[in-house]
Amino acid sequence: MSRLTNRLPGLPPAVRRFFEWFWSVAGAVSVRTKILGIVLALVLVLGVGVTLQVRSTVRTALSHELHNRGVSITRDVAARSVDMLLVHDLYGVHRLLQDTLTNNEDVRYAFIISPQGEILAHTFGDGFPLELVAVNVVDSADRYHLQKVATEEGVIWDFAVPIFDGRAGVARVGLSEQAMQTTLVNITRQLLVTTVLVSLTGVVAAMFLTWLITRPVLDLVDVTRAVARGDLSHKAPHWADDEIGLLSDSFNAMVEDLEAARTESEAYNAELLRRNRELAVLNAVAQAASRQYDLDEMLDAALHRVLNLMNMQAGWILVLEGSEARPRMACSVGLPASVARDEEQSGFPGCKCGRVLQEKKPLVITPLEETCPAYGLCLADNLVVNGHATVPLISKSQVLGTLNVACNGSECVSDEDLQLLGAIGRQLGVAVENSRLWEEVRQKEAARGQLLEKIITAQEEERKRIARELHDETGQALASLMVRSRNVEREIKDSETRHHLQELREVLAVTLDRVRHLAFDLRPSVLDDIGLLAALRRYAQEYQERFDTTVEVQSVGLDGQRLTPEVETSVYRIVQEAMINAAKYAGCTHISVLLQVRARQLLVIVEDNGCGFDARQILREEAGQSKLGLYGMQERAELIGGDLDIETHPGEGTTIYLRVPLPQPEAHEAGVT
Amino acid sequence: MSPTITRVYLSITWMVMTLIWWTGCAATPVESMPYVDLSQRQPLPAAAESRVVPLRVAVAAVISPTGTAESYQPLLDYLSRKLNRPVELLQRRTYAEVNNLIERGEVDMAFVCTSAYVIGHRDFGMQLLVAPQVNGETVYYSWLIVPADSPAREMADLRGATFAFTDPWSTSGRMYPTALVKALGETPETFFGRTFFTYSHDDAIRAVASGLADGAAVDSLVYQYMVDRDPRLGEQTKVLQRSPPFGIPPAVTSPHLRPQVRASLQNILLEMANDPTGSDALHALGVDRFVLVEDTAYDSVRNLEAQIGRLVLR
Repeated sequence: MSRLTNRLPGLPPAVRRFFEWFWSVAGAVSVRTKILGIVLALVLVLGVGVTLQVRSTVRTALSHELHNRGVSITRDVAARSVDMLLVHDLYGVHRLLQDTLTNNEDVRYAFIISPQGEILAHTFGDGFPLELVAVNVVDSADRYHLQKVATEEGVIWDFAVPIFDGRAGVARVGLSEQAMQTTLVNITRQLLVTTVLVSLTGVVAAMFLTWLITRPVLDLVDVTRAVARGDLSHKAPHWADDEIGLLSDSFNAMVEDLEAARTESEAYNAELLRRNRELAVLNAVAQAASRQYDLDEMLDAALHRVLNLMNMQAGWILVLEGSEARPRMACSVGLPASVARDEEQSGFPGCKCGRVLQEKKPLVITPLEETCPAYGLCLADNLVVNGHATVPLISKSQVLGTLNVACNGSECVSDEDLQLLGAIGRQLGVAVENSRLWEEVRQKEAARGQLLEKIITAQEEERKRIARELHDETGQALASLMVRSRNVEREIKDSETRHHLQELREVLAVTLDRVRHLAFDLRPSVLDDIGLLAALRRYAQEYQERFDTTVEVQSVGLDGQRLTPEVETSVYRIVQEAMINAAKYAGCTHISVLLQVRARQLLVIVEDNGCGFDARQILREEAGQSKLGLYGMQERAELIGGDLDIETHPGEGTTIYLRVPLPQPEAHEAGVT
Repeated sequence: MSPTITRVYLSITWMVMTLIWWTGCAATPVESMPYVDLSQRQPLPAAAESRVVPLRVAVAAVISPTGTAESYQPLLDYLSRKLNRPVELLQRRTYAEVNNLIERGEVDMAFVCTSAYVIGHRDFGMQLLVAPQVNGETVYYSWLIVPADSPAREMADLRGATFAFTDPWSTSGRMYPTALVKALGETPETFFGRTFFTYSHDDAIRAVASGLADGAAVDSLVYQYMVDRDPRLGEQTKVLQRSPPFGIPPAVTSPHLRPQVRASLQNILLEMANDPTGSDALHALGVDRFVLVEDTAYDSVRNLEAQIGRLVLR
């Protein structure tokens, strides 16, 4: 209603409030009630209006008629009584009045007054209501005079007509309104009864009208709800060629469009789902392939996922192995072991599917031949296998095996599924190829590791031997030379010779020192004799002297503990390399080395305060000393099963983390000094 | 249905009921009117005795009562003024009734028909007062009239017809035609098909003019007076036969009237023609003047009565 009142801005507030109240009531009810209310109000207003109008008109007409009749009767009485009055025929007058009374229903009374005011004749019988005489006075010049008189019998229209210009008296006749009122009441009653009947008819008609209007609307609502539920098969009935019919038609057109749009959307959806499934299967296969299981585990996982995602129950994968390309059952799902064995043994010649090897394309074998090991196989739900699809596992146009799925329908697998299986086959082919290559790499890597270990071991052994040789043989020889030269010096007096000898001895001393350094650098004997920590401390001391850099070596949980020789050697060499790098490239002034044994792991941290470097850049450079050094550190760490992290940025110093797993302490707790 | 809707429907019903109740009330619009209780009846009071005794004048029904009342009113008014006392007009349907009133003294003065005078004079001494003079004569005639289109040429042609008599005692209206029938050797009962009394001459003329009667005998003065006033009556009727002259209907007094009153009445009437007002009153009556006449002027009537026999008159 506010919308309506908003359109009528000139309304006074009271009227607006009334309209708002009215609409709050009328707007809240159903269409049925609205129509019923309108029809009822219309019929009632019309009925009551017509009743009032007719009543008023009839009343006017009846009054007019009563008036005319009263005048007519009274004048008639007056005219007919003149002669009788003049000749004093009072009985005749009396009879005239009686006749008038008898012959006119409405006439209540009649009487004649003489010019002297005497009542000459009247119709009251015995006695006369004398008050009546003075009620109505007519002038002798008038034709008549009407005076309505209230009586205990109702209103009486009293007519007075002068007789013979009043010379013979006045005729008075009283007409009762009773008949007129009765007629009015009857007419009103009939009209009201008619109104009630029309109202009832109106109610029935309104109910029919409401049914006519709301029924199709309610039907439409039902259909709308059905459509809202997603049921597009419902159609709104075409009720009639009216507005509602138009609405139904346009609604149906809309539903049809909706249905078409939905069908299209469903097609897209199905396509999307299919693609999604393909992607899911391919993804699953890729995932399975990416896990670094061994080949059979990988294939088994892939087969399970493929069958699961493609709603299939049985399948198997054969791979060709060896230079003769012998088929091997890599994995199977849903096949009894005997069937799997038969399939493996029969190989391809026993089945049409052998063609796959030549054609390198997916094949559907249905129905199965009796020679096929899967012939007569029962799946779950008592479904008999009547065919299978075979897909080659291809990599670099070489068939590495076959992927087989069993089926039981008339259409074994759809073309789409076959294509998908083909894609899976190619993917699995690559996976099989990768797996084989990986296996090869792994083997080669193992061989390389063993070789490296041997080389390093041989190197260390050689160093150890050379160092011992230098220390024990060369060092001893030089030391004995020193001793002998001193003895010679004491025996020689010649100062010049002595001077030469002194110079010689100094050269010897320097050489001895160098030999010892060389031996130490090659292989510090303290490492073998006392242990890693002592060797590092010793090296640190030497390092300080050599490079004028403070070195701090700390250990937690390592004191008095010997590690395996390989570990000690490797850790020593890694720390040595790190410190040499620090001295050579970082320009540092302080190096901190921390060794910590914790939870069967050795953690070594070498930290300097130098300029740092870009590790990635160093590794990208052409093979250089530094690059080789970093690789050497990593190689050594890997050989003992550890891993090495380098944290460095230009200008921020360098920290090297080395984590080495330690074996059980009992096994290697030897050589404690 | 929600309570709100019920309330709305109830209020609509209430409005309609109110409207219907109002229409019921509207049937008796409020109008100031006197109230009379018709059941409160009382016996009628006796007529108040007037202290002034009026002069009671009767006029025999020569013409119809209204005609009489209209034409005699100026004369009565004149008399009232001259006598300085009220004058009351009395009329009766027949001559006989008027004669009875005169005889009993309930009427002081009367204008009567010729035969009524003859009978009254004979029976109870009705006194002749004056007689009107019309067109210089104090006689009148009985004219036999028929409808204008009537083929009749004389009374004999009216055998079996419907005949209107005026008054049983009328000289011109009954005695003369009866005499004519007698002359044909018949009685009215045997001669005419049907007869009836109109009790006044003007009604008899109207009866013939309207074809109600095939013939009638009327006072020549009345006929002339009526035709003068309503020429159509003359066109619709024609005079078939005229009688010999009869003495004009006189004004008479009761034998009980005091002689002084009778004398002053006679004076006033005789002098009327000299008074302008009286002259107008005479003119209204179609009379020149009142004159004195002798009783012998009515002997011709007595002769006629003798011809047809007295019994018929009664």
